[in-house]
Amino acid sequence: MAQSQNTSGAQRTIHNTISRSAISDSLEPFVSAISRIHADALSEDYALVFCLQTFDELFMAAGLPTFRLCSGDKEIGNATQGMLPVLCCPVVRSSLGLLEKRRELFEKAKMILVPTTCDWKVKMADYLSDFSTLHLVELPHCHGKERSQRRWQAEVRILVDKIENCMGRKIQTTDLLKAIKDSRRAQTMSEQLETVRKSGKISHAEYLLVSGAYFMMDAVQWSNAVSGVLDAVKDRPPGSMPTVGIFLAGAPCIFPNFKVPEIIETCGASIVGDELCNASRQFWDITVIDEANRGNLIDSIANRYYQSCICPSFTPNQDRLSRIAVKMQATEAQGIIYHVLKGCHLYDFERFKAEAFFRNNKIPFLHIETDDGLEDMSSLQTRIEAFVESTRGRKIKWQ
Amino acid sequence: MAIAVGIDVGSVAAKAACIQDGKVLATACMANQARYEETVRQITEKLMDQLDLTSKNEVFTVACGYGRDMAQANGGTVNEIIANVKGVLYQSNGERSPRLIVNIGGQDIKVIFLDEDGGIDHFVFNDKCAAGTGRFFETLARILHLDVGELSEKEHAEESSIKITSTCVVFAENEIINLLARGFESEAIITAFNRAVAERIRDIAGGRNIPKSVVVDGGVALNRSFIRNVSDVFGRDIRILPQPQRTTAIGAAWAAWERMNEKIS
Repeated sequence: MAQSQNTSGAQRTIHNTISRSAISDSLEPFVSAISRIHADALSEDYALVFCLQTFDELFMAAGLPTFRLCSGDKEIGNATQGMLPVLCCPVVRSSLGLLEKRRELFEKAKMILVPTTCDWKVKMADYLSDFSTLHLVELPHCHGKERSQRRWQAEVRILVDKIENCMGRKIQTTDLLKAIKDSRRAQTMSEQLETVRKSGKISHAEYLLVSGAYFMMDAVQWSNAVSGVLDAVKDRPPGSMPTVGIFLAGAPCIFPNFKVPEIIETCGASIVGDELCNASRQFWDITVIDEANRGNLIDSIANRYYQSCICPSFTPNQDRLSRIAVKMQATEAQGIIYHVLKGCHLYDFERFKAEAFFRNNKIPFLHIETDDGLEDMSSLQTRIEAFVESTRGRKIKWQ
Repeated sequence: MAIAVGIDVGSVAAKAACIQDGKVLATACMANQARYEETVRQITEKLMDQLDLTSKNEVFTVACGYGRDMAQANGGTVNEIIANVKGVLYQSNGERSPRLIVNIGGQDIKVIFLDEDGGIDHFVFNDKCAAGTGRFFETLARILHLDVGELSEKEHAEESSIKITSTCVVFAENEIINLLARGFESEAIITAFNRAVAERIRDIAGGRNIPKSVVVDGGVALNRSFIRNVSDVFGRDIRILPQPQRTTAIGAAWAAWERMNEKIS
């Protein structure tokens, strides 16, 4: 597929990942999907989505493909110069950079769906308000309250109406059931992928490329392609080098910004698990079916994207740390690196609680704050290297 | 006889140390040149000039710091945080090991907490900001037309009435000029900045629960009036090692010594 001239960051990351990969053939479908955002034209109908609230099952049931436009592309973000505050969420900067560079992507979308996850996303929606296809899903931030849950379900029902109007047909119960099944299969494939990552059979860069491509693929295509990766690594021996297992938490490291994971892995460590909303966390929560009627299925799908979500934008958010701890324990990681994207205040707020929690539990913890620029590579490497060295040989005693 | 050399190519200065038979024989320090390769060549020469070496002496070198890869050291590289800890522990020989090291380098501040065995418990850095670093004190000295070394002597005995709002190098420059224009003496300005930087370092260190045994190193540790402020703000006695700006180079030399002995055995 044709590439625009402004994809050098993306091309570099793809090249770095593929050139070091022994399973490059099986990664091809993901590279092809991830490159679509830079393609000259997208012929089919599609919706644009953001954040974790992508409602895969609803869009799949309606037959409308989605592209998640959260991006970590600094070069594309540079197109917003003079438009945004200096200290701006880099993900929003990159997404709005796409608006500047690839306006036709937004113009041709049948729907642009923005959940009000944080202030940055709300202000981002302001920049998209010229598009009549923009639809905001209001996320109630007071978690755990019944009225919040009801408000959320009502929001999702409105979304269903919007999608149906957009497609000119009603979403049927059978469509929903099939979409839920397909989505669950993707979650199962993701679990298997995490297992091979933990064993060191694939690098974290490979893992990030695969999980990041989910932004641009539907659950069926993605699951089939993951199946190809699993086949390719089946007979591969587990990672033989003695490495330190690191759990990566905090703000997302979105394609093509693989800076932090790459530094971690060049410092003699392996990322054995993560809670990033662009990587493993997009597959954590499943749709629990209570009764298989249409209304109930829609509510169940709504709950999947809300009830257990541990996005730092929620309050109260006690579950966030306990869920991270449970996931980390399962990976047998020896330390946790908490990544904050400069400009993302929510993850920055949460890191103080995280630091206190993990230190009190005698779990090696390193906080790093960076953005998608490359100028601090050397100082990040110094810290991460010292952390990895001081963590080597330690075994966590979980309470 | 083999000697172990450590070279710390920092952001502002290069430091080197040499260890033989487990003892520091010589150290050297110089400002960086425009090219790191030239800095490494000159610092090595400066160190070797102090030693009475013959061609039979095998030299085993380990490098650390920002320019470590330029040193092409035959013993490889060591992480500068680990070298810093090694250097402090080496020089604390026979004494109780510290529980907190504050290293103030040319453009960063590292706060390293140690466990009771001298292992790294955790550490904190300043992020992408030169506030309170060597670079900051250089700026202060330059605007006040002083040599950096003179900052150590210039301080008001009593607390300064000036309240500094920012220790950011860029904003501080404006603030110093503004204070001078309002007629404040250099001594009062230095006193106020010493206090503000000490408070910033306390904040980086987490504010509370400062361990009892604290070492401050890096070139800024030579600034006695600043260290008095750190001691006051931390509420702790501060230990300054004999050559605080060379601690990390000594640690790298110690790493070289350890690796050399591993190789021999």
